[in-house]
Amino acid sequence: MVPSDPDFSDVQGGGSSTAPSGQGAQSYTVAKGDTLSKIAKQFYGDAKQWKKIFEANTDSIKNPDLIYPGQVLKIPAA
Amino acid sequence: MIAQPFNRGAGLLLLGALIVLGCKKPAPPPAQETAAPTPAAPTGVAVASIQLGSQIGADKSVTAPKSTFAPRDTIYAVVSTTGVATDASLEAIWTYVGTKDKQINQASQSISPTGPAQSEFHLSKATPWPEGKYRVAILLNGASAGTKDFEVKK
Repeated sequence: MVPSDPDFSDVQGGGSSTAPSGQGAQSYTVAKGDTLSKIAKQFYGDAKQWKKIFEANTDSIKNPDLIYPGQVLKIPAA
Repeated sequence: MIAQPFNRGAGLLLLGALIVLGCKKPAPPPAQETAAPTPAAPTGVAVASIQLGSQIGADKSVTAPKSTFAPRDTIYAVVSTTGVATDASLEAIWTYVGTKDKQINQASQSISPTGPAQSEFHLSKATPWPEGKYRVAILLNGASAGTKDFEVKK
């Protein structure tokens, strides 16, 4: 039996291409358990780059320790 | 000194030859080599196909095409594009099609293709996918480029 409102907060998505990366930002939907460091590690291979993501999303992130599942973040080019 | 008799006929011939040579048009300068007009490079990118599957290869093409997935599958949507662009935006919006549609993920990537390219979007879930119908919509530069429906079944 499928619940009427299934929980998708633990969904993780992403993407890649055979084409070179463009200059625009990518986007990423936050999943349950994500942190900015974890996302930075995923996209840049370096958790310390979390500030870059934070600075690109100050309109939607007030506290870098608080991001929410389902939140869509801009990921600046590396 | 013995003067040679003037050969009037030969003189006339010589004069005629000089006149002809003098009137000859100067050779045209060698034609400059001009490059054949090259067709303008196609600009812009178009989506050629969208394919779903549970596995992709190193070239990002789907190796296991599917439209019905198991609850533990990772779901891939591979977008094949043609054309070139310095900066094109591809976006995937994943939706659970239940009693009312629920957007479950959105991802975008910025690409600079120099020819045909394959771009993949993937979706995974730590816990099993709820059974039901789903849809992925692909947007190219913000405009709809196609949708694919799929199902999750045990």
